[in-house]
Amino acid sequence: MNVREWALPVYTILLQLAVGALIVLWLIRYLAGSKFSPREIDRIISNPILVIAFTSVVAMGGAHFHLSKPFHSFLAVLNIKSSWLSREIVFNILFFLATMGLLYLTYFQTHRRKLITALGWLAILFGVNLIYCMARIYLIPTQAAWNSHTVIISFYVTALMLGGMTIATLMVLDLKFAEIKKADDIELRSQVIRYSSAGLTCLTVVLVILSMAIIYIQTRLLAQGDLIARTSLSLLLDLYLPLFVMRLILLVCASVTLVYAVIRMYRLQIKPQWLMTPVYVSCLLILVGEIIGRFLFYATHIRIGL
Amino acid sequence: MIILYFFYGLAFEGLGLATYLQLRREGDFPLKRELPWLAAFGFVGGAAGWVDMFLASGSLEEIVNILSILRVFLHMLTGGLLLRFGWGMLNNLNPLPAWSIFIPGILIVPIAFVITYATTTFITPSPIEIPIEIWTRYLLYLPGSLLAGTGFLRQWHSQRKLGLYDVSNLMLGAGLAFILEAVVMGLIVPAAPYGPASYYNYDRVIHTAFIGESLEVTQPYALYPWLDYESVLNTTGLPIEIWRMLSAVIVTFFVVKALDVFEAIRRRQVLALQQERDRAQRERIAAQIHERQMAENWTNALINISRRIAKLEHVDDILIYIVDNVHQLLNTDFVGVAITNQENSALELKCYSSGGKTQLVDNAPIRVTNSLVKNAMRTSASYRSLGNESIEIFEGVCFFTDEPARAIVIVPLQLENTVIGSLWIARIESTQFSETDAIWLESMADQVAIAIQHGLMTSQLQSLSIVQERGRIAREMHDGLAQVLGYLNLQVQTLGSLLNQGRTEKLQTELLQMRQAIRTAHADVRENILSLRTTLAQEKGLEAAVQEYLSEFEIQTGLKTSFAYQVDGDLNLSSIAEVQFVCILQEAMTNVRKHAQASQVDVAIRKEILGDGDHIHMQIIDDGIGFVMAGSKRNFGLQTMQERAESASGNLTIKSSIGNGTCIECCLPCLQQERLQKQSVVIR
Repeated sequence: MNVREWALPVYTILLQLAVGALIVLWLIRYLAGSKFSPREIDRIISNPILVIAFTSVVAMGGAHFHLSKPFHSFLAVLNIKSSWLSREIVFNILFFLATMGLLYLTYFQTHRRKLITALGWLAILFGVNLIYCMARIYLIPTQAAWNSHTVIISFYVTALMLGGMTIATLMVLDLKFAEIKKADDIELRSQVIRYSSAGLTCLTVVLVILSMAIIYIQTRLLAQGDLIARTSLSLLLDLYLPLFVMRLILLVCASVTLVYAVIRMYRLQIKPQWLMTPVYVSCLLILVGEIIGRFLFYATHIRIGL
Repeated sequence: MIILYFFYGLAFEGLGLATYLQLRREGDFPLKRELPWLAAFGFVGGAAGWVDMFLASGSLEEIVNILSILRVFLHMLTGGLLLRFGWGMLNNLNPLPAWSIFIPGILIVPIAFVITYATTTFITPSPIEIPIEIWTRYLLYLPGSLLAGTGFLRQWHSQRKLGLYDVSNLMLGAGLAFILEAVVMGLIVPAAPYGPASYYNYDRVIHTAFIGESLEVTQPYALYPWLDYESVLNTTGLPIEIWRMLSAVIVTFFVVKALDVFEAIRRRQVLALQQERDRAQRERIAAQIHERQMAENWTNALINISRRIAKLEHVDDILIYIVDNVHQLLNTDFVGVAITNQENSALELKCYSSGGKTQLVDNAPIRVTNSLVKNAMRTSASYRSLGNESIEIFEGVCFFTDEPARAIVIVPLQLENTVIGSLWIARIESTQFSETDAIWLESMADQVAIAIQHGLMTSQLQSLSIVQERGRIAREMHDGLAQVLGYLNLQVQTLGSLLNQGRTEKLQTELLQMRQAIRTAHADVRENILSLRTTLAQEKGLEAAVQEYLSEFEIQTGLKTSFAYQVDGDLNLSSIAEVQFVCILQEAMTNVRKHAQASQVDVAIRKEILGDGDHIHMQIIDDGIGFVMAGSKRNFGLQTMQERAESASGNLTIKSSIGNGTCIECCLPCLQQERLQKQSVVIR
């Protein structure tokens, strides 16, 4: 793939990361709101929302690199009735606007908690639809490697996996920043991380297992498919085998690192600040693994016909 | 080319060696912690350069594969060491700002994409050494050099702030050298159809990474006109190997120079630290001496106050002395002593020190109404301002000045668990009094209370002495003059009868007896007057008073007297002891006149040093008839003398026998001499 072609993986990965991060963040906000002060929790989530909004901006900007005429991209929404691509763009814009609204509210209208909550769930709804539309684009009969509902599931799995790890990394970085600045909410941040670490780790491990299961199903489907599908599979297991194996290894290594670090933190009662390096490394490994996966996704397709 | 590689390797080996030698030096400057990484980078980088040299020479063809693998390994290791050194330079020397903690978070997505992109390039058909070298340079050399360069540039900035311009210039040079190295070692790579390698490479092959293999000049993202290796070569005329060698030499030069300067700075800092330590030690010793001097001054002041109290000086004088001492020893702007008035209705200023003068309040009473002073008296607890109070609460503390106080200490005056007043000090400037100052002031307040108590006792004692003296005079008049006058009254009646009877001879005899009685009474009266006058004439000094008394005694009685006075300086007897001392002398001389029938009396006064201190010894010897102690009719007078001596903590001995005269010796203790010898530093 040349640089222009890389714009597509960048776009899909970043948007899935943003949607997944928002889902995980809102789950933590909902669950932690009953245990801690909701006002304090809202203060903690402001920085992750900034990152989510920034990511969606970068993704949208990056997506234009793979277009022949970037300035005509808005015309794509005209085919919303028949085109999944148009729907994707519409939901992308809606998600972007909702995220921006959320960003404004969490920084400048912090007292409007109900509105923030509602807008968050609305943004998640747009995000979920966005990923669905994004996946449906690839479900076309001429692309044997893509034409499977496992693609939809794998996109959601990627979103949640990257989102969970991103939120974990952001929370730990925020905690470290608060510690350096000697902020007054260090204890609260530590408690929230302790509270959510186990859940995030379990979620990540389950998603990694699910991701591997999807890979297995996809290879089985390709093996049982027609000549084109088998050709795609041979590409995956021949030319791209090192990358294929590397992706699996990276996912496993990330899970092991995360599980080891979190168990160590709970057992030895270590400060959550210690999680910074292992969580960051896990996040990086999963991100690299998923980007390789997306590369393989695009690299192994073989068009039937014209 | 071989020579270039040789000098390239040599420059890096030189860097490693110079850094290693710096490491072996003593000292602990901040950069030293990062030097092992720089030394390792230099040694390994030099080795990599020399491996390149052997590969370029083609002289070791039999081990060319091993050398190729070694080259890849050494380059990766060099890049890793450079990256570690760069990170240390950037972060460890001067901690980065707090917000920089988010940089890895922001960069995680680009890093992940770059890693993935790099990974995908390994599946291209080109030899694997190519992508390894490319990504080693992009991922290790480039960020490592940039981090190191940025770290040195941060040092340049911080050293300039410190005013160390010689170091800062070297830091700037080192920073720029690493930036140059980032370009020539991190950015120029073998030709490959991806990333910057497609248009900026060794082999002058230009691809565009954005649109694949075809080259279009009009492509809006193409940056090759500025980054084209061939253009650089055409402009400079130097191949990349020369630039790399130059960058290595420049880095080595600046880093080595900078390390030398760091060492010089370290020595300067050690010297400055030593000087600072010496200065601090001198200041500490000076402070200790000052504190000791202050403590000595305070002790002397307290001793002098005690001495004045013991000498029964007037309480007003003692108060002025105390207030003046407090003013000078505590460096105050105002010192005040206030006593509750007789009706116990108000607190009135008794004595003060302000504006350089210390005096009593003699005229209209000045009432003290400040709530802090009253509160200190009410709670019987001292108060010391800390500097964070509003100055309004200090109003009414400083008298005779318009400036408000900003620092005060108030101590209640307690007399037998009863608060009778207050002693306080104030400063107009905001320098607060220390806790030690407050403790010293409390001790002064105790002295004030003792002085007042002694004043009260002295006045009571004086009243008692007057009563006793009146009783004594009455007794003397009753026993002497009244008896004589009664006798004379009877004799006058007898003379009248004899005159009527015409018995002239008998009349003359009676007249002679009357004359004798009058003469005796006259002598007694004169002696009493002399005694009273001597007792009351203390201010002229004991020696002069005794001398005068003995001269008068000699004139009045016709007895010869001698007086030997062997005391240097003051007697140092307490006031009570001095009175008793004179009274004992007078009593003894009266006894001599009345009973001893002596012709000569010798009086000697001298100072003796006994086991428990100095004593004043008085000896009175007459050459009279003497007496037997037991059953003597003089017992009452002798007992009085004994009691007087004992009341002054002294003793009295009498030695006499018939025909051998009498010797009376009296010994009274002096006040503690060594304490009196210390002179107060307070000038009064």
